Order: sequence, then C-alpha cells, then structure tokens
Amino acid sequence: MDEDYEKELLADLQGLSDGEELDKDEDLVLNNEQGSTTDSFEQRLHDVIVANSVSNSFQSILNNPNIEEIDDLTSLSRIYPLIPELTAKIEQYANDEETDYLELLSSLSTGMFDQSNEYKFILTVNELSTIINNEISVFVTLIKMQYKIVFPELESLIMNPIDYVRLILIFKQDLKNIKSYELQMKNIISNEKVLVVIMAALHQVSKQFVLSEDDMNKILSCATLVLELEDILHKLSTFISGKLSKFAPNVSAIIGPIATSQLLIATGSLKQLAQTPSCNLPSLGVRDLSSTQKNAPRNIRQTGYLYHSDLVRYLPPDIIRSVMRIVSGKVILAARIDLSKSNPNGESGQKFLEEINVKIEKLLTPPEQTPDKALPVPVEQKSKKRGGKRFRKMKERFQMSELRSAQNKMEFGKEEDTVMDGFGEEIGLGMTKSGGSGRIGQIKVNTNTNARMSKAMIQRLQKQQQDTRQLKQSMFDDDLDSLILNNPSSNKQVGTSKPGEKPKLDLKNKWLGGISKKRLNDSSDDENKDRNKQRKL
Amino acid sequence: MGSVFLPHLNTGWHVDQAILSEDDRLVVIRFGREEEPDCMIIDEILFSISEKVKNFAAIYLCNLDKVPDFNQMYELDQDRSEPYTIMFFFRNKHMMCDFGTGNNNKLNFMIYDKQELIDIIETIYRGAKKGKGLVVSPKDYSTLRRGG
Repeated sequence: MDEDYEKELLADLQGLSDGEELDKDEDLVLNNEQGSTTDSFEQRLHDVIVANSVSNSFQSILNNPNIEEIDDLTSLSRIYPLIPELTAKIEQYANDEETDYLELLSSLSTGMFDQSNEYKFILTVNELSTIINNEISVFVTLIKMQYKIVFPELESLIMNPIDYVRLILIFKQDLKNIKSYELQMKNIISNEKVLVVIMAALHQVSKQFVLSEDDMNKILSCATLVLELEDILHKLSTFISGKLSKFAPNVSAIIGPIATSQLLIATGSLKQLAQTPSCNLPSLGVRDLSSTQKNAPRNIRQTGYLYHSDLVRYLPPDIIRSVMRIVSGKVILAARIDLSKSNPNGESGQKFLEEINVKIEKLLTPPEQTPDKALPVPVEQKSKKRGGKRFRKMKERFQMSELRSAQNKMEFGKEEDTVMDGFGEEIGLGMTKSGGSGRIGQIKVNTNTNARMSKAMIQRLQKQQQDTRQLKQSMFDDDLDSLILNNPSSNKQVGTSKPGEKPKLDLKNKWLGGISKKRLNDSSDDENKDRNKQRKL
Repeated sequence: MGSVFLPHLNTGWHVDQAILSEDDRLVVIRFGREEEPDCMIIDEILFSISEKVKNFAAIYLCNLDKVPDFNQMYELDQDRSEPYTIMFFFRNKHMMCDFGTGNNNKLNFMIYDKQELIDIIETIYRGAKKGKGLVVSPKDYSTLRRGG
C-alpha cells in the first residue's frame, strides 16, 4: 500500500490527469465493474457485497488520499453503475411476483436454500440496502466536507442527510438570493426550518467563500448521486415490502418489510424465525454496519435489526430496551401465525402493533405526580387506662420507693450518715434512718417492687417439686428392693389415690436408671449427714 | 409563585368570613405585600405546606394595600422592618403564640424552614382545641436578630 501511495504521489507531481489517479482499492473495484460487463448481473452484485464485507466502503472511500483531486466522484460509488440494471430487475420481479410467490414460499418455509432466482435476488437486495445506506452517508459526508466552507451552519440546522442534499441542490451557492428559493425549500422542510435556514444564510453571506465552478459541479454531481441512491433504496424497500406483505404479512405489519426481511434472512427461514426465542431477536444483526457509525446509547447493547427498525429507532433511549423486549415477543408470535398461514391479511399483526403502540405510549407517559399527603389532624387521645386496682399496682411498681425518696431528703442542721459503695464512692443515706419529717422509726420497705411470679408459673414449679419428690421416693424404694417392707403405707397411698401415675414412674425409673440412682444415693448421704448434723446440734 | 395558588382575601368582609366560617380548622392569614421578596419567600413556604396541613389549618393571603381595614386593629404595617405578619385564628378567636420575640400576637419574623412552620401551626391547633388562648411555640425565636 505504501508503495502504491508513493507512486501516486509521484504521479501527482508529474501532473497526470486527475481522472487516472485513483486509489488502488478503487482501481480494483472499477476493474471489477468494467470487466463485469460480460459477467452476469448477479455476479457483479455478489462482487460488490463481497468487496463490502472485506473493506467497509466508508473507510475505503474516505481513506482515498487524493480525494479532492478526483473529478467524477460518482466513480467512487460501487452501487451507482448497477442502478439501471437493478431497477430493471426489480420491475421484472415485481411484475411476475404471482408466479414466483409460491416458489419463494416453499423455498423459505422448508428452510432449504432453493436456487430460485427471486429468492437469491431478495437475499442480495437485503445486503444491498445496508451498503446503499452506507454509501449515502459516505457521500453526504463528502458533500459536507466540501460544502462546509460555503455554508457551515447548514449541516447543524438540517440533520436529515437527504434534506441537506436537496437543499444544496436548490440554492447551490446562491446565499444572497436565498429568499427567492423559499417556496422550493418549503416543499422539503417545515416553514420554521426554512426561516431558520434563510436567516443563517443571510448572516453567512458576508463571510461566504465562493467555490469555483468545477468544485461546485463536483458537489452537485455528488448530490444527484445521493438522491439516486436514495431513490433506488426506496424502490428496493417497496419491492421487498410488496413481496413480504404476502409472505410474512403479520410480522411485516409490526416491524415493517425491511426489518422483516432482515430478520428472515438472518434466521434463514420463516420456520426458524418462528422457532427463535424472542429474547434472541434483538441481538440478530448486531454487527451490522449502521451501528458502527451511529454511536448507539451506551446502555443498549443490542443494536441489531430490531433496534434499527422504524418502530424502535426514534424512541428515547431509556425505554428502547423494554420496547425491544415487547416488540420481539410480538414478532415471534406473528411469525408463528404467519407460519401457520391462519391470518394471511396481517390483521393480527396490526392488532399486535396497536398493542405495542399502546404499551409504548404507556412507557412514554411521565410518572404521575402524587400530591403531598396531608398530615393527620393532631388530636390528643386520652389514654384508655384510667385506674383500678391492677393498674394502680402496676403504677406503684414503677414509682420511686419511699426509702429512695427519703434518701434524697436531708435533715436540716444534722450531719448525714454515709456509706461507701464498692467503687469507693460515698453515698449519703439522707433521712432513711430517721424516717421522714417528724416521724421516728424505720420506713417500711416497698414490697411492690419485689420480683413476682405468675400463678401459672408458681403452679408449675410446685408440680415439678412434687414430681421430683415422688421420684426420689420410688427410686429409693427400688434401690432397696423392699417396696412393701420399707414403706408400705406410702406405697399403698400412691397406688390407690393415683393409679395412673404408677406405671409412669416405673418408666422413669427405667430410663433414668444410673444417674438418678447415684444422685439419690448422694442425696441420701447428704440427708444422713444432715441428720447427723442435726443430732450433733 | 406561591401567592398565585393560595386563596386571596380581597376585602375586609372576606377576611371576616374566612375567620368566621372555619369551625374546626385553624385560620392562618398572611398580611403583607406579594411584591416584596421576603413576602414571596414566605408565600412559597406557605404554599408548599398548605397541602400538608389542610386537615387542620386553612391558609389565606391578604394584601395590606388592598385591605387596610385591619391595620389599626391588628397593628399591621406600622413597622417598616416587618416583612409580613402571620396571624392565627380559631373559631373567631385570635390565637396567641409565645415565640419569645416579645410579640405574642403575630408571627412577624422570617422563617425559612417548612417543618418549623408546620410545627408552629400544629402547636397552635393543639392549644386551640384545648381552649387555650396562648400557646408556647415549639422553638424559641428570641435569638433572632430583629430589626427596628
């Protein structure tokens, strides 16, 4: 490449004619095109597509080092020479669609790549649409680059490339008399825009740089090329839509014919599209060319065919993800309907589209404003507890005791008694000893603050004690193997009064054999000791 | 802005009716001039809390230039340094509040905090419900620098 470049520079210096100075890449393409007059039309289309897959036309054209020298910019276009044949082909296929329709259908629904000419043509057309789109943007950038010195503001005022090109075709360099073109401009853009453009143009007149006739002609030829490309793209899309409205009516009713064809070709057939999980749909065609140029919003990864379909493209980025999810679900449903051919008029597709639009509408509506919640009326409710024995007791439990309040009082003119606590602090006892003013004697200790047990708890504890006592007794008896001899009266009592309890105790004896026996022995020893002590005492 | 949305009392009769008509809500009337910046600030705050306190207080605005009837009775517009005067009424009775400023009859100093104003209104309402004529403000405003 470097060598080629040097050669071309040399050629530049030698002052060769401009038309011969083409980049090597372009030479190749041109050679292809020139040599292909003998080749079949399909072959040439195929060549273009292959060339595009090898090198992006955007790069190859803009990398052209001496692009300013090239006289005829139309020669850079790969599509341009094919346009007449393409239109002819489209018309041919559009006319005899009836005969080929069944063929097409069978070829797609069986999933086999039938060699039907029309099917192949549709495939290539699909590829072409991206290439043409690409070329349009390339040439528009070319025009922008050159037209910038004449009217730099125009490209920021008119964002749509096609409108931009058309406007240039209308008023060319004639900014001074731009008002005379007002009517023509109004056909293309809105009245307000026309006004803005005219204002900007009149402002620009004073510092306008007038291009030479040659340069301007180059821009104009480029502009016509763009318009022709746009025209062929439009034809292609109508052709495909005509085909697909019969083939996959429901799907194309939702996302339009172009995206439908892209999806069909990406998956291979209608059957396969119907079998695709809807979550995979947005990722189809992610690496297409358009997504590399437009910088898609960061939070949307899946900029595939679905993302670029008309339904999704113009939505604000924050709802695109959810819209794509909704759309892909419906598209798969529609594809299944199409596969079953139960709805050939695309009515269910229309219905789905309406549903989707309703959902989009809902997503687009701003969140409802909730007014401030009014504060409740500050009403002070009286407490429900008023008094009673129980409540009074409860309150007394938390009251300061008389002893404590006496401790806080001091007798006048007397020294206070003090004690030292564990931390070495001196604690005054106040009037605890004297027992309040005028009264002599001890203060009664407040019994309300004592620890309490519920009645149920007391009963439970009593029962437990009783049980253990009985247990001890029976164990003791067991141990000596002399139930009757040792304590006949008590055993009888147990047996007669509580007949149900006897076996229970036996069970316990069995289970708690060793340990309890030991303990019992210990305790009996203890008891003996106690007795001995008592005797000693 | 806030003054646009709050109800205005255009004549003395309107003021009387506003005070008389409310049976179980506190009537809060701001006397002042909407065009003055301090008054605009309090109007904004009053508007922003009006929805919150609507269950126990009704907030009205009254322009001193349009309705000079009460200037004598309530000693309004006597002091040029007063940004505005907010007065409280409950069942046709003037409610007093001890803000610590020395004037218990009215609120005539700047308050920038919504919650403080809500608290004051709530306290006065509680007192009024209990039949009190004077309540103590939840916050003491005696430390505020007062002009004049």
